[in-house]
Amino acid sequence: MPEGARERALRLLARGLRDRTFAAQLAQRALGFARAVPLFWGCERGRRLCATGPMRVANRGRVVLGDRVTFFGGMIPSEIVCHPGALLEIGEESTFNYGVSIEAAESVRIGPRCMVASMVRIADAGGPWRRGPVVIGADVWLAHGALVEPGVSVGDGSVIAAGAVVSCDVPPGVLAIGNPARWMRLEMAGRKRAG
Amino acid sequence: MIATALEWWTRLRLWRCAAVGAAPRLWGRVWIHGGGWVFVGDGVELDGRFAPIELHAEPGGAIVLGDGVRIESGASIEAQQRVILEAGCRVGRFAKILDNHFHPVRGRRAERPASVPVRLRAYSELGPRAIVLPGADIGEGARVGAGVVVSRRVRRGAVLGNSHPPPSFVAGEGHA
Repeated sequence: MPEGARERALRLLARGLRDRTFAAQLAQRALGFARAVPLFWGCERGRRLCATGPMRVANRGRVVLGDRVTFFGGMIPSEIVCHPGALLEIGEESTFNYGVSIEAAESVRIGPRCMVASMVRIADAGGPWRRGPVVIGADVWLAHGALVEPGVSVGDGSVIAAGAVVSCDVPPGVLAIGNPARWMRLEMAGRKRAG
Repeated sequence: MIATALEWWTRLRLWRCAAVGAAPRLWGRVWIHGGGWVFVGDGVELDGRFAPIELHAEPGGAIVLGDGVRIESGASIEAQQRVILEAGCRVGRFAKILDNHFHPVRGRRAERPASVPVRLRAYSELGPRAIVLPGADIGEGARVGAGVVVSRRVRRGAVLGNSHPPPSFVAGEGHA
């Protein structure tokens, strides 16, 4: 082990001995690293892939996961389904909460540093409307219960509000709300009305 | 005797709650975690048979379930500060109640914004997959429909959500 890593490990251990909650979190994370290896066995895994909590991975195509991707656990399992001939790509440092369902029949690409909240569904096929590749940019935040429909492209840095159903392309830097999702520029979101 | 054994078993499964009232009913799984306080009133029904119910109160936070509250499978309540369900509230399947967005819309996403307490007043109902966001105050007897997102005050007795099908669908006909 390189020197810096050893010192960091000792620091973590010391803190774990002092703080029981931290120790529990550390143990859960370590278990998550270990579980991720058999769970994502057929996939192209990056480093430090972590999967705490129940998950289902059905990979019959090509699943590419970046470094430091984390699937947080919860009471409802998440699932990653990749059909034959499909590509499912998840960028580095993306995090996923419980109950997330990502299904690729052709192509689903999620950029780096995305935050995908609980019960989000991302699929590129399966509804009666259309099929088409789904591309989610970098630094996108999908809040609880968001639904990304097939053929949709979400721009970098955008926020998909809770419960939003995204059926059209979302430009970068906007907040998308509602069903069907309408968007407003992020700088304007949450501002009090003038006067 | 069986009834008391069942209640004893229910109270055992609710051991993480700070206080549990009379005659609690619990089916299936409830996941109570986070270190905060969960107060359960009299006659509360928690039906976690189809999917577990989550009651997550962070340290310093509190979830208060009033008398006769009924929570369906898969529902999740997360309190960083305060989530109060008054008497007779019903929470539908897979509904979500949050009192903190956890991330700001603008600014650094890693910084947790302030919590805003959430209150469901007496006999209000949340439909399945409804989402209640920080600052929501659902009035007495209000009914929130399936999948509706609430983030503000809801007038007492209001009915939110679609109760009629859209006009392009005619009952009895299929569509291509």
